[in-house]
Amino acid sequence: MRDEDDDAALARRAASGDRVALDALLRTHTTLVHGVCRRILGNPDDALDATQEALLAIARKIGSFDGRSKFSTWAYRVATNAALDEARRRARRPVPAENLPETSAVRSPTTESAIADRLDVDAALAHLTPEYRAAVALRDLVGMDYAEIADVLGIPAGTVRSRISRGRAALADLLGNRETTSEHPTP
Amino acid sequence: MDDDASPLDPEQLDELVSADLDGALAGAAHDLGLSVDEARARLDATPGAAERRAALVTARDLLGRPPELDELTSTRLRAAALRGSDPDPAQRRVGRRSRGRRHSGAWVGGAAAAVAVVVAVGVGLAGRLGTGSSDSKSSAALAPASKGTPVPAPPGPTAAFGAFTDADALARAVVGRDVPRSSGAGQSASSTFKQAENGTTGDDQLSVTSTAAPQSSATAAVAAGAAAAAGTSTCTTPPPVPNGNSAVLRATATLSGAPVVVWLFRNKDRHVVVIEDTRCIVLSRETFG
Repeated sequence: MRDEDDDAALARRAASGDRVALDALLRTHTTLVHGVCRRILGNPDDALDATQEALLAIARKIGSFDGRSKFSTWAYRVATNAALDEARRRARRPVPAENLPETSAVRSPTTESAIADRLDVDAALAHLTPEYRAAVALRDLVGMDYAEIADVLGIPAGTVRSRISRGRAALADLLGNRETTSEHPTP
Repeated sequence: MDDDASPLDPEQLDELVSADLDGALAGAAHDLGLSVDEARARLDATPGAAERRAALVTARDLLGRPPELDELTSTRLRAAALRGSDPDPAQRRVGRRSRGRRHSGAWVGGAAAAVAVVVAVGVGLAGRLGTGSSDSKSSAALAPASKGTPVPAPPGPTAAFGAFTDADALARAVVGRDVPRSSGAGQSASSTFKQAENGTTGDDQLSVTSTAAPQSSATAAVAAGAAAAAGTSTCTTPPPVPNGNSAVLRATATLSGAPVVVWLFRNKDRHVVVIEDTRCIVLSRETFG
C-alpha cells in the first residue's frame, strides 16, 4: 500500500510536469515493464524495443493519467499494449531461420537441470500466443488480480483464469511433470 | 451437476489447481459445473494431482521472477524516454531504438563494451590517481567540443564526483555542490566535495559517494580513473539549456560503471543538471528548485 501511495504522489507530480518525479516513477517500474514485455514477446531484442516504446508512452501520456486506477495498473497496461503491438509487427516480418524456436528443446534431457535459466521460461511460453502470455505475465510477474487483467486485456475473467492455467501448465510440462500436449494454442 | 468423485481430465486439473493457487477455486469450479466441495473431492480423486500442484507452484514461482535487465540498459531506456518526452523541443530526441538493428544482444553487448572501456581506461589511470592531484584547473583549456555552437566552458574547476549507480543521486549531489553559494543548506555536501577539489584520490571520491553506491576501493579507483579520463577528453561544451540558465559547473563521474560528464546550470534559485555519456549524448536532465 505504501508503494501505491508513493506512486500516486509521484504520478500527480509527474502529471503536473515534475520531471524528477517522472524519472522516479520510471525507475521504480522499468524492471517490471521490461519483464512484462519480455514475457509477452519472448525475445530480448523485441522486448527492449517494446520496453522503450512503453516507457516513452508512459512519459508522454503521464499528463493524461487521471489517478482513477493505480499507476502500476496503468503503466503495465501501457507495457502490455506496447508488447502486443510489437508482437503484431513481428508477426508481419519474416523470421530469420536462426531465430526459429527449437521445439525439441522442450523434451531435452537437460531441460530440468536448466529450468532456472530464464530463457527456459521464454521457451515454455513460446508455445502460447502473446495474448496468453500477457495474462500469465500480468498475474505472476506483476501480481494483478483476475479482474484487473480482464480489464487490461478486455476479456472475461474466466478467460483470464484459463490463460493463466495454460501458461503455468506449459512451464510445468517443461519441468517434466507431464508430456506437453498439442492442445495449447500456438501463435 | 457432477456428484461423483471421478478423476479430472488433465486440462480440468490444471484449471482447478491453478485457480486454487490464486484463491479463485470457486469461480473455476462453477465454470465446470461443480461446487467447491465437489471440486476438492475430484481433485483428491485424481491420480498425480499433488505432483501436478507442486509443478504448477514451481512454474508460478519461476514466472514471477523478473527477467534480468542490467542497470546501464535500464538507465539508458529511462533516459531515452525522458528525452523523448521532454516538453522542450530542443532537448527532445526520441529515444527509440533503430528498427533496422536486430542484432541479438546488441544492448547487452553495448553495455558490456562500455564497461570494458571503463575498466581498460581506469586501470591505465589508477596509478596517476594515487598522486592526489586533480585536473580541476584544466577544463577551460580542453580541446574544442565536437557539437553545437561553441560555448565557453563554465568558470571554475571540474569536480570529480566518483562512482554512482543512480542518475538522480548523482544529480542531487551535483546540485548540493552549488547550494552553499546561494544558501546555507547543503553544507555537508560542500565540505565533502572540497576534499575532492583539494586533493582528489580514489579514496576521497569513495567517501563522496559511499552513501549512494558503496563499492570496493579497487572499483572506486577504476571508476575514478574512468571519470578522470572522461573529464580530460570529452564533452567540453555545455549542452543547450534554455531559459537563461548558465553553466556553473562541469563535473565527471561514473554511472553504473560508465564514465559520464555532468553539467550544472543555474538560473537564480533554479538548477538544471544534465548528465551526458562520453559521446555527449544526454542521458538525463533534471530540474531542481
